[in-house]
Amino acid sequence: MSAMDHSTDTLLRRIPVVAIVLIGLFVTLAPFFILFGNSLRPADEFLSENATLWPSHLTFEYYASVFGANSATLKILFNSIIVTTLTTIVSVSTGCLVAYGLARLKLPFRLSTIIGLTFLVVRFYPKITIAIPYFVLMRDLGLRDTYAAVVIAHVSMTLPVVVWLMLSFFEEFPRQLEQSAMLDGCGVLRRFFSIVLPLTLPAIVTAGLLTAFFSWNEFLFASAVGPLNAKTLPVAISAFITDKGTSWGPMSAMGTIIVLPVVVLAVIAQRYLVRGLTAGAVKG
Amino acid sequence: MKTTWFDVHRVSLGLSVAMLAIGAAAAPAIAQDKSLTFSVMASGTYDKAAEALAADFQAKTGAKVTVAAFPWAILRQNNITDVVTGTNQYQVMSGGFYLADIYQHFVPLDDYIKKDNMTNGLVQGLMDPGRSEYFNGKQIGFPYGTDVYGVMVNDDLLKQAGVDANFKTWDDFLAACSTIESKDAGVACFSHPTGSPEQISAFFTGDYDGTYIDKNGHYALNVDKAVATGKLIAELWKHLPKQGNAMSFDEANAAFRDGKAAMLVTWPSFANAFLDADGSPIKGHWHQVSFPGPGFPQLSQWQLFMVDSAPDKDLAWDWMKTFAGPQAAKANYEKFGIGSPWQALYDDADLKAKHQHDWPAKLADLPRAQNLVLTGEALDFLNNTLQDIANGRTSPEDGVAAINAAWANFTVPQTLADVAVKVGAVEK
Amino acid sequence: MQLSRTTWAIADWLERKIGERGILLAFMLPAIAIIVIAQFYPLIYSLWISFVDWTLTKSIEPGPFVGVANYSKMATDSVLLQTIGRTFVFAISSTAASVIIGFILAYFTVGERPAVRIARTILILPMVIAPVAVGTIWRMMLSARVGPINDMLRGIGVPAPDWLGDPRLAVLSIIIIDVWEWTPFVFVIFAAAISSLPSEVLRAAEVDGATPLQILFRIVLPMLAPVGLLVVMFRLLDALLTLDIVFTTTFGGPGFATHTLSFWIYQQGLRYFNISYAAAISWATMLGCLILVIGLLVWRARISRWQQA
Repeated sequence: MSAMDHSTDTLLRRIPVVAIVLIGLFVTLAPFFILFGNSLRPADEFLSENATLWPSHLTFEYYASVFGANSATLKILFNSIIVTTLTTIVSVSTGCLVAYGLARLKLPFRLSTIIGLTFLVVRFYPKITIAIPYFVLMRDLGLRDTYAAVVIAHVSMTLPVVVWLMLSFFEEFPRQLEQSAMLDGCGVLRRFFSIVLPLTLPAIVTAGLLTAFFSWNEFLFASAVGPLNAKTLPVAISAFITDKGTSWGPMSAMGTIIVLPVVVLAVIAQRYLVRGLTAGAVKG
Repeated sequence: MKTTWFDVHRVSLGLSVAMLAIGAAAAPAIAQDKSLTFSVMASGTYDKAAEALAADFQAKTGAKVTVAAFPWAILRQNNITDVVTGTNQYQVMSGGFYLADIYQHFVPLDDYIKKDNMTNGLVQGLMDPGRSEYFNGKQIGFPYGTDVYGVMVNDDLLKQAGVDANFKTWDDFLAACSTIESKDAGVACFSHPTGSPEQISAFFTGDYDGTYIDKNGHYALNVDKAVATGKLIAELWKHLPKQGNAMSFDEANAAFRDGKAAMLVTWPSFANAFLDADGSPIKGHWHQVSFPGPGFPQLSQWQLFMVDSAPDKDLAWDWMKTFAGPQAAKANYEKFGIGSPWQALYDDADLKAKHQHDWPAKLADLPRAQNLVLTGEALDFLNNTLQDIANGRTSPEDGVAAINAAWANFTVPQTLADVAVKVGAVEK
Repeated sequence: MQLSRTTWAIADWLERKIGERGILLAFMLPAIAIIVIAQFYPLIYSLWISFVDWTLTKSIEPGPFVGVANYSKMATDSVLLQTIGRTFVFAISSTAASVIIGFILAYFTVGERPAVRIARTILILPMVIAPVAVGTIWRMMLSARVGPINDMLRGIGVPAPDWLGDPRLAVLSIIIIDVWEWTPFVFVIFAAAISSLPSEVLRAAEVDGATPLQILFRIVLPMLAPVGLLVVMFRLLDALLTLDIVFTTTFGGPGFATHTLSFWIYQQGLRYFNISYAAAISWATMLGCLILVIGLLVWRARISRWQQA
């Protein structure tokens, strides 16, 4: 795009472009700013119609109560961390395995392609369709309101992304590397674990990020199968909706806790993230 | 040999299997020993009172009470989910008539109540059908929080407008609205927690004096009367504060406290402590008036239910006595504003003197107050349609027709049908 | 390191035992098992329960087979019918707005200068945070009486509306929120697609004296059309099935004003426990989405073929 860069370099044309981008940035960032501000705003300011955009006094009481002793939120935060960690580990590891299998195995009747497409199908139906049967299934298995119930749901929903992402990387992986290892007597397990995987680490990071973000943020299944003991942050924050009062302070503090890690990671690992988000769409 | 990727992979796989197992094991572990889980509304009153009592209870009995608090709409859903899915996390639940779908899962309390003589000292009539919950003729709910929907008025503003606040009917109330607003354009007639979708039915039951179940035993409204009430509500909604269509309880209270609205229609137990707090500009300048008719003021009768899957029923009853019993009544009222079902509280001379501006109206309304005889689903449909009528999205005629059409498909639980006969909510 | 040597020994033994094919097949088992158990089994199960009579509050076991009764009930469900129209209005407006805004932002932030890269990072943020957090944030932003947006409007003397409380504005409000959340998705894909456009073609057009607008409309947009359709497809699907935002901002209200299809399915299934009816609506929704996806993919294939011709 360097050609276009230069052609648009005339100052006159630049001003509206910069203005539009700045407006876009402002609209994107302002809500984050308000959220953070409200998480530090004293309770009485919320009901005042003359409150300033940024609180006139700062209070840390909402965070203190989140991280204080006997805090229910702390347990919920812990749940979220466990669910996200487990989902990421299970989804990425099983996803890598199946993707490698699909990439290397020659099955009759184009079965590999069919299995690959089957994974893709998961992306294309409303998740609410299976929320209810899944909920009944977990009840019958006695797993309702356990980490397992939430994690299995999240893994099954993130596997398609992991599989397709990894499949494209494994298919593009230089075969010569594997072949020379084969000549040295390396079996498929050694080749996969000590040659292929370490070299596709960037792709794995991408898949892991997408999976972790999804699991950290997911609401529907977490609320259906993990209402109390396995309650995660998104389920907890949704409970503020019909609350008696304007619990905006605690709500904002919890919102900040949900949003902050994701934002920080997204900024740090932006390169990996963008690759994951755009994989498939641009090429396909 | 250096650590390879395989090791990382293997360790993480092992770790995840182990954690899954822990996760699966952790849930049942919580229900062990002497402990019980109690579901309650996250109102900032009931839940806080429960947490305060739970500490004493543990000191006394050694049993840990986990307080699971949710907003009203979620609490109702979670209670039902818990028993219909056999999850059985809560041994004692909070609720009311809207749990009728799951009454068969609650333990009859008659023997417990008799054993401890627990009805002695309750406000007269609270254990009647339509106020407390019965299943197959047995008492299943025990009251702990009693409130009656109220109309609070700002004495100064009403005097200034020359309005007499003794409204007989909601039409009188509506007529007063125009007078009040014509006196001072900056003052709205009344404020109300419009943002809580379940509150609007308070106006409906207040004005509507028809039946809720037809001759065939289906939920149905009397069309003419319901349409008239719909029209009234649509008119009333024009007298809310500006941008007052989605106010929370606190916002509604604040609008009344700050003189932006001349009246407040809400649950007194959610408002009075706030209005009488030190520094509140309206303290000493308001009083509660009799709830207009010809319908009935809604009763909020929070009850405790014991779930039949509770492993230690005596412990559950112990907790119910602790939380709902007369000993806790005064503290629950003074610290948390919970309206008490116990007569002794209302006979307390100090409190009586302090509550001359709100108790007389409340206690006078109490005998008229009733619960609805609707299931949660029927109630949601009524509330949503009423909001649509109030906001002009649908006409009262179409709205009432839609309610009756939807209600025709709902089953009336036997227990509510019985109550409906007793309170005269069935078409003759 | 004794441990890892043992592991490798086991690995080699396993390999001798079941062979390379066996190992690769074994690789595929866990993921396939998870997908089958957690996705396809519930999917088929939901198809089955859509043909029986089952309300969870009345019975913990499925009731008798009732044929298409649950499906025919949909025709008389007045809430469902108004929900469908509203969901389409919501999805189409949200998709259109986010595609246009997302494209403009992507087109204006090409290049590798640091400022541009930082801008791109920031512009992605709304889509990576939790949708329920988005709802929460915007409930505060749009609060009629104390929200910052109305504060600003009052500040410049514009009448401040009751965004979430006024039924005429509530749908617009959730559209605004959805656009804020998902424009980054459009943006990120267009940004990648634009930067992978062949620069020779663009330079050649420039040398030929084409104006920037001509380049945009005659070259860039047609070349982006296949990606664009894919973006539209994903956006439409997501918007049609929106639940989280509605749940955390309006809870479907005021009244029925923001009940969307997914919200109604949620209410029917997980609030009233009419699970067979909820399953029927879900399957009808799915068929609708399927037709939409196939239609868009066929259209896309035509465009690609036409472009190659």
